[in-house]
Amino acid sequence: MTKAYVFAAGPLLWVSVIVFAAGCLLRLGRLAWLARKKDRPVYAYMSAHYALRSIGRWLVPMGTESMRKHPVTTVVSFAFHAAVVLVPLFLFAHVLLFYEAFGISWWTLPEEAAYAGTLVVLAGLVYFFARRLIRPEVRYLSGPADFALLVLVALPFATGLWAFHHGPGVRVVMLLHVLSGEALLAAIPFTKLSHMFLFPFLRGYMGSEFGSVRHARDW
Amino acid sequence: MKPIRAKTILGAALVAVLALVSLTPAWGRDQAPPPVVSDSAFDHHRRRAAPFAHDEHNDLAAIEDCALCHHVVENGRVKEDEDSVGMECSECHGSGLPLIAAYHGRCKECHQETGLGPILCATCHTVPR
Ligand code: HEC
Ligand code: HEC
Ligand code: HEC
Ligand code: HEC
Repeated sequence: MTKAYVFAAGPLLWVSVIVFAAGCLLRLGRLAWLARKKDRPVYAYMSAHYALRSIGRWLVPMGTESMRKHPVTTVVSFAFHAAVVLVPLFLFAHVLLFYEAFGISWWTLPEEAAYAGTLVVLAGLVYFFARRLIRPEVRYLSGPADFALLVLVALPFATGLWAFHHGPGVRVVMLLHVLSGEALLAAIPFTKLSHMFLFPFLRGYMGSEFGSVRHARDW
Repeated sequence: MKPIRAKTILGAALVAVLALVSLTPAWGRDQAPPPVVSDSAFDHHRRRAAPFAHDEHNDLAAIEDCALCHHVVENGRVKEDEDSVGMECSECHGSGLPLIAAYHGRCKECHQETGLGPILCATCHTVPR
């Protein structure tokens, strides 16, 4: 068990980080190339002003028409996204392990906040899962991969919570925690999770198209 | 009779769970708690304590050199034939992250290398405070 864990938390972690970073660069490069091939004018009307205006709008809770139409989804979504990014990055145990490996550390969340954030993430995933099942217009757009992705995001958080509570089988659960976290990281560039790093470009594109071409708002 | 409302059920469930959680540390308190490492430099504790039955542990692990842990280091070198028995690690390793890293660097590292002994947060920090 020790060997498996040390391998998972060592070499395998490097593999997943490299796949993640290279995958992100590849996706961004492909996007730029596709835009050049299929929609050349985009480079002419891309405007920092309109792009940032639109990105800013969409980062404000209830800042857009569609958010005001779906207030519950908006609140759940903002809380979920804040927690899903902040908890893993600022979890004390993660920062501690990074410090032990590289001698570098940064600010950490109080344990209670990290705990609450984990619950927010899991509750948010249950909500998204149910929404995909229940709302006909969302269900129509959902395939098995979309549900699987929600489960993949849930795994590292659920196993982390389990280990924090010293639940039974903690050795296996922690191995699963590390492996699922790595699978998630490596999956980001190649799945819908890529919106994590693509959103400024897609939003900026829409903002520019609406702003400089159609002279309209996109929110 | 009024039907029982969902909120009432939820409330009752919450109270039950909270009662259970607050009672759990009381279980298994019959035996004396095992000896733990407890450095006075930690003023608040994020984790449960790490058990460490000093002599039994070192017998089991067949560690003979006290200075493996109670070392004296000068210019980056461990001084042979000297030890710091009687000093707390924090007297030289400060507090906070560096102190935690000193403990983990000694305890966890050996467990990882030998494949024996706990290496996870949850398998080492097991003794409720
Ligand atoms: C695996 C690491 C390790 C080794 C090897 C080790 N010690 Fe310790 N020792 C510790 C730690 C950690 C503490 C602090 C424990 C505590 O806070 O109760 C400690 C505490 C002590 C104390 C203070 C106990 C007290 O009640 O305050 C003495 C004395 C001591 N060790 C002597 C020795 C001697 C003698 C040897 C060699 C035969 C030895 N140690 C080997 C880790 C070690
Ligand atoms: C008399 C002072 C002193 C005491 C007491 C002391 N250390 Fe150290 N230790 C040092 C110095 C100096 C270094 C080298 C500089 C550094 O890494 O901080 C060091 C380095 C270390 C290192 C990293 C290098 C290595 O040897 O692997 C670890 C781990 C460590 N100490 C653990 C401990 C633990 C655990 C205790 C308590 C059982 C302890 N030290 C007690 C002075 C001390
Ligand atoms: C030089 C190697 C080494 C160092 C240093 C070391 N350990 Fe261990 N530890 C072992 C080995 C080997 C075992 C397994 C012993 C066995 O059960 O055969 C073990 C077992 C344990 C166990 C499980 C004991 C049990 O009853 O199952 C605990 C808890 C533990 N170590 C805590 C610590 C702590 C705390 C420290 C640091 C103060 C420490 N160890 C430092 C080698 C080491
Ligand atoms: C091999 C056993 C071992 C493992 C594994 C281990 N620790 Fe520790 N840890 C210790 C010991 C020993 C101390 C010193 C305890 C003391 O003096 O109170 C310590 C101290 C700490 C402290 C400071 C005291 C406190 O409770 O606030 C924190 C925080 C901590 N560890 C977190 C972690 C986390 C997070 C992990 C997993 C990433 C971890 N530890 C894994 C043995 C271990």
